[in-house]
Amino acid sequence: MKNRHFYFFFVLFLAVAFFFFSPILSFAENDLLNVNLTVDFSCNNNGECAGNETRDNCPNDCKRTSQGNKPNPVRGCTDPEAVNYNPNADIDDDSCQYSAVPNVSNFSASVNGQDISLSWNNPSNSAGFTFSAVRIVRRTGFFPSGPNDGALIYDSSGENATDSGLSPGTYYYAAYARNSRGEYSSGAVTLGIISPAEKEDEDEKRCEGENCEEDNRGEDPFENFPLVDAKLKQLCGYFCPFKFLQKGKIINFSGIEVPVNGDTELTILTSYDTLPEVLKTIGVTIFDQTDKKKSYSFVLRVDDKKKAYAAVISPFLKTGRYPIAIHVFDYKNQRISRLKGVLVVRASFVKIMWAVIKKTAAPVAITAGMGAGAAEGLFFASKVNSLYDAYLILIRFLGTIFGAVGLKKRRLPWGTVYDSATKRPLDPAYVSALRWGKEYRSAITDLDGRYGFLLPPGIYSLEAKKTHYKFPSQKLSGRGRDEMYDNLYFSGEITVGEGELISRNIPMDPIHFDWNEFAKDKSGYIKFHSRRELVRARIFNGVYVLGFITACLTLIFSPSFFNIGVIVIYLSIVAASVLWRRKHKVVQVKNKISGEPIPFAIVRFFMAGVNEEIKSVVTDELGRFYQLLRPGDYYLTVEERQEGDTYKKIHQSETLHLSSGIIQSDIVIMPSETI
Amino acid sequence: MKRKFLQFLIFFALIPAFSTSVYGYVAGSSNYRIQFDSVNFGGGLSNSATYYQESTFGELATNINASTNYNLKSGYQQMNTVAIAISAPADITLSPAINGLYGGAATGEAGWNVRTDSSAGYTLAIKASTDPALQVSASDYFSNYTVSGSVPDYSWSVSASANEFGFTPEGTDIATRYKDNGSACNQSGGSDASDACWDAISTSNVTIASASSGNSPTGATTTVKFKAEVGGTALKSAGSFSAVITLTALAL
Repeated sequence: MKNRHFYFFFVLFLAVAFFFFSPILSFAENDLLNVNLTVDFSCNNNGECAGNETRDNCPNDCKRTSQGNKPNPVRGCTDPEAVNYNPNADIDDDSCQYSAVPNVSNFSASVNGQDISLSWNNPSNSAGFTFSAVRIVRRTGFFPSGPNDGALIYDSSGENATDSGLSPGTYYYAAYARNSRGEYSSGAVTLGIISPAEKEDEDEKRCEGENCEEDNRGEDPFENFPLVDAKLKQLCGYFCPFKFLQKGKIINFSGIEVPVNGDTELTILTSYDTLPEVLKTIGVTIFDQTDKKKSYSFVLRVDDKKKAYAAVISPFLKTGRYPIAIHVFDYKNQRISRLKGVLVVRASFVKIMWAVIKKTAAPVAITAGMGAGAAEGLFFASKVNSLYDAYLILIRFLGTIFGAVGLKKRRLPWGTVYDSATKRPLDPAYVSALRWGKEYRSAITDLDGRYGFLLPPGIYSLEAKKTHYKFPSQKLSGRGRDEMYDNLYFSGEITVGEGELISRNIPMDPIHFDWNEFAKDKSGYIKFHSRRELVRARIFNGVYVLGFITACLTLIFSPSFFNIGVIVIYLSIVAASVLWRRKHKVVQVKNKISGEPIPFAIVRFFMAGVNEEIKSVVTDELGRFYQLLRPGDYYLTVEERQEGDTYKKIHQSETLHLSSGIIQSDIVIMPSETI
Repeated sequence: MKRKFLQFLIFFALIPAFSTSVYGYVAGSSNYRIQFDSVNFGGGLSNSATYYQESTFGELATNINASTNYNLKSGYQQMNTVAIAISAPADITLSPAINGLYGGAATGEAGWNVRTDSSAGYTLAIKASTDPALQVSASDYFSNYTVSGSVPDYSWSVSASANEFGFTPEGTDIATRYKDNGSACNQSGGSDASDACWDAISTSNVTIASASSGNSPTGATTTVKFKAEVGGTALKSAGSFSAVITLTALAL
């Protein structure tokens, strides 16, 4: 037993040892390899700020401060001391300018004997500039170099001055505009030459019959100085190193033509560092676009900080091509360079268009719009059938205004002028009171065709006029009354006693209206009038809208109190029209079955309970009328016009409670109603 | 007592036998070592003009047996020499140097020749010593290449905001994972397009090449291409980055 145990553990031991100490049957080999990589970090210094470049890691490429890098750098003035400093600029493009005072324009001198007359135009105020005065100084030998260099000739805000009692010689003038902060412009220059007396006589003989003043005008004053054979090194472009700026930005151009916006100041400048120290003056002469003999000169003056030579020129306003010459002088007053080119002055398209609109179309559109809006909105349009009617309405309107302010006495209307065929009142109609055959008084009927005269005692006759109507009426001749009116007047004398009023109703015959013809084709007539009225309304409303839009544009481009007032008037027209239509609500009398309106029907209003006729009105050709009564209870009747100038009562309403005195809904009549 | 002594003696007598097995040879002197021996009744090296034969008589159940998990070589003749060797290329520097401000890519390659006379072949695996592999320090590194799926990317692609490091093996014995069909990787029986099938290096062995037979005496070369890229907007600070790569050749 013990032996079995021994051999068991022995075999077990062997097995364990076998596995632990057996030689490895597979082989492996390995190799270690180092892989290296160098990463560097360097800027390309190409002057452009791109990608991950920032001012911190690539200061030569990126000039932004705290805003970080930009893939597309902005070029502009990066000097915070410049007047056109651009805080968003990444790269300086030498456009920094340090003075923004514009020069006077059209500075010229004319000689008159021993006097030199100077004239100029002061610069206009603009954003950042308030004009204060002009200071003119004079020197001999060369142009003044500053506002305090030379004899003071003028210092005020006018636009002309005279330098008197001068000896023969050449006088150089410089005019410096001054702003409210006491800063000066670079200087506009001109010169005047006083000739000796004998030479002056010769000059007079020479230019007899001509305008001799022009001899001293139109020359480039800088041409008087010799041009030595020395050239500025041209670094770039023709005008280089000079730059033309408008609104702080450099104008891009090639060749000798510089495109300029005529609405904006023009700055010509060059960096102080780009020109040699020996230079003294840079002069610019701009010639008139149409007359080369006229020219205006300026000098580019270095600013106080010695950063740039610059001159600011007022807006040209007139478009055109202006030849320009730039002269560079050394300290010996010798010209060492002269550059010639052309300023091509243009106005912006919008401004050109607006100038045309403002000058021509705008006033017409605005006025027409007002008139159309008032006419259509206040229901006048339907009453204007001729120019004469329009004239009468205008006269009446003025009369109303004068009456309202007490300049004209109002007359109480007592008589009515009306259409003998339709019985509708005529508005407007011109009524004259004649005395001894001559017009003594006149009146224009109101909206209800009424007129009134207050006459001194005497004998008068009346006369009525309206386009397309005949007076006296033949139709109702001899009748004292008709269905609507009594006390009819056709002709004859009227005796007016003390305190008496003329209260005659005057029928007038329509010339182009025949009731029988109308009755035959009532539907066609109604349709025609409806369409005509619709077209008229559309035209008038269209003109109103056009005028309103034009007025708004005028206000935007030329803001002023006047233009604001125009807008207020437009809005008032709309408001008045709305109010008018509310008060003069138009209702229609129509056939319930056919829907057709009942034209020229007489609508009478009776006070309920009393059965007393209060008012009557005749519908128009489209069966419409409006009537304003006192609030209360009424009933109305409708009488339809029949053949033979008779009327037949076709409707009587129930009692209506008119709380506002206005009928709110159309009157719809059943054809089979029995009255 | 006597029996116990004999048992003890047998036990200790057997220890040297197993001890020699630890050293890989069964007998030796200062001049020789016998790797293996066998107790049998015959055999030896036979040869003619056209053959060499080494045979052993008297052993039972001799064979090479294999399964998925083991290779068993039974018998004296199976204990012949299995050797594997791997070349040692020089360290490489990826080029060109990358400007971390603007971005860019750098590449380099090294080739390993693996030679084995193992009739079962070999495997070659790659791993890095650190994660991420290419780094200056644990806080300044190139990320391991991001594979878009579960197999290597056929084309190298790094986003503009990333910095990555990867590799691709090329050679006749590359693993299926790195074989392609012109547009996708992991293609059994596929080809080996140049600069295709990019993968990330991890700190675990990944088999990049294998063979199922010996290739002695010429061996087979597997070239590993390395690539690092800084994306256009990534912004990488300056530095000297390095990765320690281990290639392990295993004879089967």
